[in-house]
Amino acid sequence: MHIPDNYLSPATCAVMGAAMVPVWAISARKAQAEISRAKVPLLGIGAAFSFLIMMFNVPLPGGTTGHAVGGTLIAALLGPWAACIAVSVALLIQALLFGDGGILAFGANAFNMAFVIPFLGYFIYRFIKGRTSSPRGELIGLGVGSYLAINMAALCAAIEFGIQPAIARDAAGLPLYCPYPLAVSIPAMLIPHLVVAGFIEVFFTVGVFAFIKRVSPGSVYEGARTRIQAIYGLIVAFVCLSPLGLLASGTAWGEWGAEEIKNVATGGKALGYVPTGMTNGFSLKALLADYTVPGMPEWTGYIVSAVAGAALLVIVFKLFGLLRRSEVETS
Amino acid sequence: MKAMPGWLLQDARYQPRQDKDAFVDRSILRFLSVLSKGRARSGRIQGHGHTEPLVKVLSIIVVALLVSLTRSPAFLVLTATGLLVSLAFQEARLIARVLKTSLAVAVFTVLILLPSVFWGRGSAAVMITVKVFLSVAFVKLVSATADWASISGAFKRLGAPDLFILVFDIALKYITLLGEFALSMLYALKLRSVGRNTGKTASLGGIAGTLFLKSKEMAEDMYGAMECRGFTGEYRAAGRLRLRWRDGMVCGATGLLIALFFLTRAR
Repeated sequence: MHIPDNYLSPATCAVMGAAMVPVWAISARKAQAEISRAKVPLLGIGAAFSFLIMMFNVPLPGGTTGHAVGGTLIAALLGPWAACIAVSVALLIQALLFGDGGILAFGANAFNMAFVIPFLGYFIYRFIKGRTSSPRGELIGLGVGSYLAINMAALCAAIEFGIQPAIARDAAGLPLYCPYPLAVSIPAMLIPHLVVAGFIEVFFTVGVFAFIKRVSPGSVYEGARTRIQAIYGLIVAFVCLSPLGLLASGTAWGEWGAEEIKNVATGGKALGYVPTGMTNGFSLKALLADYTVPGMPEWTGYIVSAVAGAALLVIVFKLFGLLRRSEVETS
Repeated sequence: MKAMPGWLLQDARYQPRQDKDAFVDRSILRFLSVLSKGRARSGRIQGHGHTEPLVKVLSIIVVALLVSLTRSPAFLVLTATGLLVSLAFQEARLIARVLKTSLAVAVFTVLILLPSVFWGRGSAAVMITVKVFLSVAFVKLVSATADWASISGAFKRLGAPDLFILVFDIALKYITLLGEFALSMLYALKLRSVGRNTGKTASLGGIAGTLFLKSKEMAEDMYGAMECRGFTGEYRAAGRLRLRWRDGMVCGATGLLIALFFLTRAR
């Protein structure tokens, strides 16, 4: 679901980025007000979780791959505002360091994965949880919420892809950016997510939530026992398992390189050309592009990327907590 | 009763002229910052848990050596990942301190190496900057998580000559003591200068001179006191070396880096 650069027209990127600015501003303020000081480092752990969950690629029908996001999980643990910040920072690090998702398209990606998923998922989760009293109701709400939220995000991404041929064409009438109209992009994005990726998201969300609730209830409910070691243990387990994400060999729909897109077949017919916006568009050479370390086997690169990304997120949010503390001291 | 002398009844309108003493203020601030750092460090071990300082000092020497020798960007990426992981387990304040120093040094390195970028050797400049950043960050991490006494203990275990440890130990203690002394002299100079005091620069020389004489005196006193208490110029490391699982992990990580150094070199 990470939209690369040059798939969206600059105008779309600008609109999505502008839409996210107030969301980030309000989220930052709300998260500061809602999260107790002791929980700020948990934000980093949440972001690290989301980062690692997104590394587990699964093969999807149609030869592409997809992954879960974990936005609803973090929203259920820390609230939707905090989840928005956590997933946004995870996406930013993926874009800058690992070349996963574009820099210009960062606003659009953040809208789909850091805004739609946490808020919709959280809303549905609270709605169902409020109407049942059993502990199972909570998990059901979480499952339904995460399933619907990730599919909604996929739909948003599909719409962003699908409107491109209508709004940006070159002199010859060929699309400048993403070449697929809504009729192609919506089923291509939505069917795999409805059939497979949505359930992967449910699996991660409910599984991790139930685990954390059992071993460290303080991370879910204020005042209960917190066992941060168990959560760190889970992160280490995710890091060790991350090369599983390499088993799915295809490229995710809408994330092909400029050379690759020429041969992508839709309805039995290859595209046959490279949209001009992609051949001479903006591109950033990421340090660890596609989660690989130059000169090392793929799986080691993947583990190193997982470790570096997770550690970086924990550090970033610890430093955020420091900023916040000094604000409290001076005020 | 005698009448009040006339000069006492006059209104005194003495307006001291504006004095220029920015340099005294600056020196005072500088001394204060060094002293407060020294005080904050003494005897307190920060960071999570406690790794044996000897293990830390040894690993840091090995890591700095490997980082400076390597020519493989992959090895630098791996070392950077190791740095990130070790930082992620530290307290936020400590992380900020480590990054502040190492990023400042890295920026300085970039400035120095800028000409080589214009001559088309950009990749070498990037490599050197990353190497400098990594080495400084690791050293800063070690120095920030160990107190001075344990670091001098580690030097002893490494077989450093006693004289070296004596100098190291006493220098650290006396930086604080003499700093406090110099600070009081600077305050005195500031307080006693009324109006424009043009001779202040000369007094500063006096402060330095007095400080030297004082330090000599204090050093003699201290050595005398140490001899009285039976000091023969010989240091002994206190306590037996006890290694815990944490030390094992640091050793393991260093060993892994050594292995990776040769692996990445072969490619």
